[in-house]
Amino acid sequence: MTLATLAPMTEAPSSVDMEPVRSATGLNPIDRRVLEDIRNLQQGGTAPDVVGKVIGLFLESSPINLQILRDAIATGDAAALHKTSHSWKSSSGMLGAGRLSALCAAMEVGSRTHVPEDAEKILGAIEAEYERVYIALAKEGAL
Amino acid sequence: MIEVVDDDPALRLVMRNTLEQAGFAVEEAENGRTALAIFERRNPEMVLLDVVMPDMDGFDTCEALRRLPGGEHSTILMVTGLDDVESIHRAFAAGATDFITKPINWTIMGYRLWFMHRANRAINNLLKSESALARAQRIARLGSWELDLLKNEFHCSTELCRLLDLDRHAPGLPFEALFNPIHPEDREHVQRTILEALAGRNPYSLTYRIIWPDGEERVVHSQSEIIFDEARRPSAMAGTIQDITEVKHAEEQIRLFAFYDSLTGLANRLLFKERITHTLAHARRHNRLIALLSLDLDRFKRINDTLGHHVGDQMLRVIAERLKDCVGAPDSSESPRDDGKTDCISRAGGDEFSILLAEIVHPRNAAKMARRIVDLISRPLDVGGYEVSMTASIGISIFPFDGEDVETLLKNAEIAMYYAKEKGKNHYLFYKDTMNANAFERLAIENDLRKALEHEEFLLHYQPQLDTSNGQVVGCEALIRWQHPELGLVPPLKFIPVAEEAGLIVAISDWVLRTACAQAKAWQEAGLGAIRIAVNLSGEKFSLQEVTGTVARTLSDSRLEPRYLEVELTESILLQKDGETLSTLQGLKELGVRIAIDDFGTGYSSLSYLKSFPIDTLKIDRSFVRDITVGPKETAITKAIITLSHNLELNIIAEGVETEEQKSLLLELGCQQMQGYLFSQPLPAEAMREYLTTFGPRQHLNGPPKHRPQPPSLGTEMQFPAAGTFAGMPDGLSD
Repeated sequence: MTLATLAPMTEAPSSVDMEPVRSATGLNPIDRRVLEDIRNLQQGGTAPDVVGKVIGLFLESSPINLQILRDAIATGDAAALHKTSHSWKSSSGMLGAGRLSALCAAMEVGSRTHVPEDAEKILGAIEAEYERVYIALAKEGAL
Repeated sequence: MIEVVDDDPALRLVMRNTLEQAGFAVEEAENGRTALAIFERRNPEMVLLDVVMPDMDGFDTCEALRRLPGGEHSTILMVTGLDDVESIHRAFAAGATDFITKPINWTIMGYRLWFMHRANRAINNLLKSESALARAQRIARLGSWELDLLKNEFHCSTELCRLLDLDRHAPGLPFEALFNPIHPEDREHVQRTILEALAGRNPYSLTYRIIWPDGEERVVHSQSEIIFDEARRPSAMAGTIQDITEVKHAEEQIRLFAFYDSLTGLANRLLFKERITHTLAHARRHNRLIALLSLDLDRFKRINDTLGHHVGDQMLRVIAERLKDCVGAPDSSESPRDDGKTDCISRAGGDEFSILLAEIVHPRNAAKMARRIVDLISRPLDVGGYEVSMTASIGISIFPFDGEDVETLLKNAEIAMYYAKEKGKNHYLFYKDTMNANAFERLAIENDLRKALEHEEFLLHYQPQLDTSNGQVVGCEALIRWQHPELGLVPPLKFIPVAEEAGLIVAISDWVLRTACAQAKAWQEAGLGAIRIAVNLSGEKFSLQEVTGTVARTLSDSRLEPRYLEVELTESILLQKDGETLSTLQGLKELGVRIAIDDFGTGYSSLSYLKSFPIDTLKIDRSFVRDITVGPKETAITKAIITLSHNLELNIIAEGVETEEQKSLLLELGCQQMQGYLFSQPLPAEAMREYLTTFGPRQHLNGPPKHRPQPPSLGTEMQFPAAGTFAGMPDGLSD
């Protein structure tokens, strides 16, 4: 998994430093305690790196999710929108990406019956937040 | 093992990790269908089920899991959104055990599941206990129920519903449903008892019949108790109902075994006696006659041994049926009746049957029945391919003539039956008084008597006869004894009558004759003197015995001179009015044999015979001898007999002389010859030989009498030999 395989960023990454990246709202993209919880459940030295795997799965599925959301809005497929945002909500929540999870939740709730009017706007926020999560994960040394 | 169902692999991964660290085994499923398959195969303790899944969602999956075998009680935890109340509600409706909200707190997840696991265990134990209880109820065919008295709620166990064929899923099953299956005949009583108990808050215990829908009748035992609350007030009534049909069945079987013969279905001895007892009571009250028939199959044993027990058993069954046909509707295992007036047939065992005719108008009706039975049984039977002929001997006793209690009636019927057998079988006989209770002993003796001759169990004892005027032994009387291998010495009184009745007397008499003659000859040849021997011949059918010929033969065989043989006959001989007796006696006289009349004076004969029959000796009966010292009247009779004999020029000898007084008196009256314990008890041959050696008349053969020592006839201190030496012979029996 390399940066090159990721979807193109709409913004240039912020400077990479050891401090937790702060977004515009001031929330950390990743609640490190969540990852700590998971890490604590690791079963000894020889066990596979669960956190790494989980992060890996997240980084695999997230771009796909993003694309599905884009397409769903474009085609007006509320069901797909609802389902995928629910799913991304779960997977991001699991990593402690609270704001991303919340944004997906918002999309989920809004798209219960139809594509919400502010779908594009929410999508944009989701995209931006994802970038920040991505960087935070990079700092975790998952990459 | 915990099954994790979620379409998100990341979640499954972390979940697995968490659970495994907590010590659980994990199976994963990514959708509902797979979840069901794994559940069926692996039967997990818990299922963690995500709500949102493609295809089959969590709620449908939950419901489907619940329907699987084992799914009713498994723990299903649905993973819902935090504020997603609707999902939580739907999870409950779908039957989930509990819910977990996302995002999942991994740290406490494990603990959460541990608590669940503990709760599961408690529930499982309860379930096991319940199922064990249900199983126990099923095995015992015992159902339980409970009625809440305050809320009037009724519950009953699965087994109870099964026993009474109640629909346990019918809502609001009422207490009264317990009455549904009761047998109509029992319903009123049972219902009343139970409702009364309920009203009075009392326990009850009942046995009654129920009927299943298919018509089968069952017997149940139902009992209840009252449950009290803390204030000691009745709060509930709880009871059990148990199907005891098999137990009742077994009880009935036992009763049948105890009272009925398993081969024929007839009453056995035990029940039969009971029936007789009841019938007797009834007959006494109403003055009725009862007949008891004792039936024995002739020669059954032989046929049984020849054709085998299987055929024998078949025969008995056929006979039993024939008896039932004859008697008609008697009490039997199929239709037991005990009203005191029903006939009853029983099989006492082996080939013996007994029939109770409960009410007969007249004894001849019993005879008619016996005749009918004898005829019916004598018809050939076809058993197992063989045609067998059977006959029966029947003895009949009548109440109250032949006995007033069960034992006597039975015994007498049996005695009569034995007589019927003896008289020729295939016959019936009424009991007579003359068939006394010694009949059995009789038969035993008779059987042994037949063998006694063969086995040389007879022997002769000899009692000396003395001329007390000169102290010489003039002869001796030969007396038969029977040395029975088990009973010891049997006195003639016991076996002679039996021998007479059994037709053995001739053979025995012959033996006595032969032995006595031979013995007398032997003593003579041994130089012991001209001893005369007296032999008792049975008077019954005297003339038929061809006595003359036998005596002649015996004399010639033994070479004993006829004058040394004296034949003793009882007075009754002379009562026989046929001319044959006279000619037989004359024949004997012609041989040269002496004839003596035994027990003279005791019979009912007239004295006229004395002039027509050729008699040599009269023997004064011991009863006269005994009475001789009593008084003048008694003495007079004896004196008359003695005088009579003198005048008729007959020899006279007194029997049973036991005292010196008797002896001197007899001498005074003119009777010199005597026989009795005063001189000697009857002696066995060896002892007699010694006696003769010491006191015998040997000189008579060798020349004129010389002086010789007096035999010890004076004083009781010289009894020869000492009394009691020959054990087994009671005193006074010098016959």
